[in-house]
Amino acid sequence: MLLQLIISGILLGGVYALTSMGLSLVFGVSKIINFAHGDFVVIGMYSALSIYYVTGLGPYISWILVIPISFAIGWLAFQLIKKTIGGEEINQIFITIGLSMVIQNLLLMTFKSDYRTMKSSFSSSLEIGNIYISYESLLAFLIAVAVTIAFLWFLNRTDLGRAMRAVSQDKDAASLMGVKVELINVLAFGLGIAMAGLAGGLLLTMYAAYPTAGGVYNLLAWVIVVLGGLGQVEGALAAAFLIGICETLTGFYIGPDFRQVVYYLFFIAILIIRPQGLFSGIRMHKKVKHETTA
Amino acid sequence: MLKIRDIQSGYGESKVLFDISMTIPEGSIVSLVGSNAAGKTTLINTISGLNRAWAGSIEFMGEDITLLSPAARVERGLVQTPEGRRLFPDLSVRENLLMGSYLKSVRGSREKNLKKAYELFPRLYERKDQQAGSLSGGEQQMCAIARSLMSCPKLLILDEPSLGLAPILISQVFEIIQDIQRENVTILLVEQNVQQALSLADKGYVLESGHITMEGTGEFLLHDDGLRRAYLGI
Repeated sequence: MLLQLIISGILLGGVYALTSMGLSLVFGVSKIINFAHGDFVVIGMYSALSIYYVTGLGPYISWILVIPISFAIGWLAFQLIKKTIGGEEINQIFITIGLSMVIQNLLLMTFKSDYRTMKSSFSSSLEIGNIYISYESLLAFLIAVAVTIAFLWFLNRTDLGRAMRAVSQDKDAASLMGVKVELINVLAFGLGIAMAGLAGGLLLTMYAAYPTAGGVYNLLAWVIVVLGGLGQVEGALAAAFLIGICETLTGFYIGPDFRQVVYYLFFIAILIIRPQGLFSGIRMHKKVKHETTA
Repeated sequence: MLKIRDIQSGYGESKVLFDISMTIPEGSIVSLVGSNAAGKTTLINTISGLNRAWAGSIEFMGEDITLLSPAARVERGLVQTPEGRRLFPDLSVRENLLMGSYLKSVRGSREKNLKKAYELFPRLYERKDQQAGSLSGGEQQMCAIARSLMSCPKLLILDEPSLGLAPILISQVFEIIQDIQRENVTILLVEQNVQQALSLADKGYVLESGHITMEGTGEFLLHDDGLRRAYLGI
C-alpha cells in the first residue's frame, strides 16, 4: 500500500511541478509576486473542461490547446500587472490578489459553483503486481514530465532561455547585451501561466474543478516554490514531488481533510529551520543535465 | 565616431550631468577621469541608453542615437562593460560569453568570437564550465571584457576595469585594453586610476560634479599642475 501511495504521490507531484516551475519562473525573471497563479491553474482546468464539452477530447489531448490559450491569457494579465514591476511589492500583492478575485467570480458567473469532473475515457487501469495506476493519471504525468524536460532544455540550452536566466540575475547587465528586458518579462510571464494552465488541465484527471479552487493552488504553488528556494526552478521541481507524496500519504493515513494541514505544518517547520529553502545552495544544474541527456 | 552635445541627465528630480559635450575619434582611446560621484557612470549609462538623456544629443557613426533603446545601440556596435563586472553569477563562464552574442546581428560570428576570446584569455577556457560567480576578481574582469568583445564592439566603453584588482592585474588589464584598440576597436575608458588611464589615452576628459572641467591629450593632462594636485597627490 505504501508503494501505491508513493507512486500516486509522484504522479501528482509531476503535475504540481509544472505549476510551481511556472510560478518560480515568473518570480525569478519578472520579479512579480503573483498571488493569482493558482487561479490560472483553475482557468486551465475550465479550458480543458470546455474543450471536453465541445469536442469530447480528454485532457491528455486537449493540453496541446490549453498551452496556447493559457499563454494568451497570461500575456493579457501581464499588461495589467506590468506597471507594478520594480515598484512596491505590496502593490503587486494587491493587484494579483484582486486579479485572483476577479477570475474566481468570472468563473462563478460562467460555470456556476458546481464541482465538475471529467468522465474517464479508460475503463481499466494499469496493474503491476498489486499496484494500480489509472491510465489517465499516468498519461498526465508523462505529459508533465515531457513538458518539464522540454522547459529545462529551453531554459538551459537556448539563447532565449539563457536570456531569461540572465535577466533574472541582472537585468541591467542583460540589457547591455542587447536583451529586450520587457519582452523577456512578458514571455516569461506568459510561459509561466501556460505551465500553470497546462497543470490545471492535467489535474482534471485527478481532482474536480470548482471556481474557487484557485485559493488552494495559489498557496500550494507558493509553498513548493519557497521550499525549493525562491526563484530556483529546479528546486521547485524537487519540492513538488515531496509535496505530492506528502499529500497522498497524509490523505490515506491521517485522512483526506488533513492533506493540506500536514504540508503547511511541514512548510512552517522548514521556514523555521531552513528559511533559504530546502534545495537552495545545492547545485541542481548538473543533476538535471544528466537526467535530460540520459 | 561618437559625438555628444550638451547632454543633461540625472535621477528623479536631481540633475547629475550639466551640458556635457565630448568627441571620441575613431580608433582612439579616450579616458574619462574624475572622482567618485562626479557623474562618470551616469554619463556612460546615458551613452549606452540605460539612462534617458534629459536634453542634448548623442551621435554614433553619423547617426543620432539619442532616443534608441540599449539593445539598438548594442546592435550598432556601442558596447559597455559595466562597473563591477556585472557577470551573471549562476551562469557558467561559457554561458556568460554566449550572452555577449545574444543579438542576432552578431550570432553568426559567435563561434569565431568565442575562439578569439579563449585565445585572448586562456584562463577563461580553463574555467569555461565553472560558474562565473566562483571566479576571482581578475578572472571576472577578463570574463566581463571577453563578454563585451563577443558583441563585436566598434566602440567599447569600459567602466572602472581596474576597480578592486591587485596592481599586477591592473597593468595586465591596461595591456589588454591596448590590444583591443589594435584590433580597430575605439575605446572609452572610465577610470579613477588617473595616472594609468591618462598615460595610455590619446585624449582625456576630466569630469567634476557633472561638468567637464578639462580636456586635452593624455600627455597634456598628466602634466597639468591642477590635475596632478587634485588626483595624483603630487
